[in-house]
Amino acid sequence: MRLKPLDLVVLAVALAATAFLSSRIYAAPGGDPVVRIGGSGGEWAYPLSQDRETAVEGPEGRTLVEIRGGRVAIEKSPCRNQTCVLAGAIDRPGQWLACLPNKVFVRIEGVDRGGLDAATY
Amino acid sequence: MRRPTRAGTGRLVAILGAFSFFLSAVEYTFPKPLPFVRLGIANLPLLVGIDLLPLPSLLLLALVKFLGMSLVSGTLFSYVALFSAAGSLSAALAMWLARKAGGRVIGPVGVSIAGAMASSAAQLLLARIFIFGPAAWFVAPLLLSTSLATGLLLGLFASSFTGSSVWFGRQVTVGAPGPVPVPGEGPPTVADPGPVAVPPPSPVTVPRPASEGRRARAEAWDARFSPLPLALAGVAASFLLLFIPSLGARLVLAPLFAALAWLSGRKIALGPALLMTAGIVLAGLVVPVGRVLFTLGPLLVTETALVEGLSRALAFQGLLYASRAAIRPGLRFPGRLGELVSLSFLGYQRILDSGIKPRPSTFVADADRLLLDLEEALPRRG
Repeated sequence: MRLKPLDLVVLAVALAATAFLSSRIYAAPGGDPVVRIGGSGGEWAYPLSQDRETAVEGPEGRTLVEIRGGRVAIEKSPCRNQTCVLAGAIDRPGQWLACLPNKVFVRIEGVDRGGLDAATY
Repeated sequence: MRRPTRAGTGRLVAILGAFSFFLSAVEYTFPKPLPFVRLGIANLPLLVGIDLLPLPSLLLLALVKFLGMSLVSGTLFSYVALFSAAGSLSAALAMWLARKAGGRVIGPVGVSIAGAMASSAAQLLLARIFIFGPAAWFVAPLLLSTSLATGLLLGLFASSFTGSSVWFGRQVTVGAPGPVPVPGEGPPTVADPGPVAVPPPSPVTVPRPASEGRRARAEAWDARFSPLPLALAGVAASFLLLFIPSLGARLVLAPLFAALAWLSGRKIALGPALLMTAGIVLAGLVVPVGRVLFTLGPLLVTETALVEGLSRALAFQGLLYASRAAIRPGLRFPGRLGELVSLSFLGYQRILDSGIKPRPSTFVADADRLLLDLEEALPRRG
């Protein structure tokens, strides 16, 4: 039973690939950022990476939250001042949106792995 | 140096196919630490065949191996079959590529590792797409490192086998590998003259030891239904399960199919089924979707993710049961592929009848004896 040169190369490449993948997978903390939406009726959670629209009931009516292209925004709100809609979209962990009159709170949770600092904007 | 004839290559595929059926039956008796983690000794014939067969025949061998095992285990119409087919074919292809690229400086160890890694990568990709979602990556390191280890072991084993096997030595002198594929060799065609000696359709005994009750149920089931209509009913059942995504429907269908599988004499192993279900549901929860029901440590348990995970797990198990009730070993495939599968089963039966039982300490010599016996016994052309 003899090992040939390329046997060792294949073995080394396979070992390296496995080690590299393992370190990438297990070292990456958290996974994808999660959008958590709190309303008076409960709490919802969605991945930031999947586009969707969802409505949350509050004392004033329905607040429409939209996740699109990795950004979250409050699209429509029954409240009077519309601060939440005017706040625009958020896209980084730690950021939040709130509609105080309708008691809807939207925040992004997770580990910030983006290269740009928030100050860039 | 004589090239093997087309019938000769077909016969060789059948011999190696029979050998791989036998090895997978041997492997079945080993404990499995985790679903999807296997030693993969049934890939040994592919590894041996790499130097004996042109690529089309090697892929044919991978197909025969896959179809034979899917028939015996009855998993043909399930996700398990998808994994098995992708694993076998990608392993065959990667091993062939490694062999071609490596030439004289690569041995069975390198070829085997290449095949094992390709097979795992293909299965991971399928697991990511069909079953576990992004959480599939979490098992990637485990799966890749075990398949690296088993690939290495199998390669070392194949290396000692090809070095000392009388059977292998004879094959190499009869039909040495060459860059030119055998003319006319290829996947089965409609206008196949059928040079392979077709064995009479003999019932293949279910090779796994079955309890009295289970055997009686299987006999009654097979006496009542013929294989083809049953297989077609299985297709219909699979469609029902896949295309009615509602949890309610699957809650009814999956247990129904489990009952049918039990009636057909298949073993219903609750432990692995529950483990698999828990795995699929947990993996589904990793990406939270919907109302937050409660938190479990760092895990958010969300309603939609839970329902979808359960539904997916039920589809997985239901398909497996429907397939195992509907796919019987007596089912035959048309064309050359079907002939090769039948011939391999005949060879497999011969191995069982020969009474040769490989022991770990003398495995190489036993496997050699077994292949030499098959070479003698398997019907040849004219």
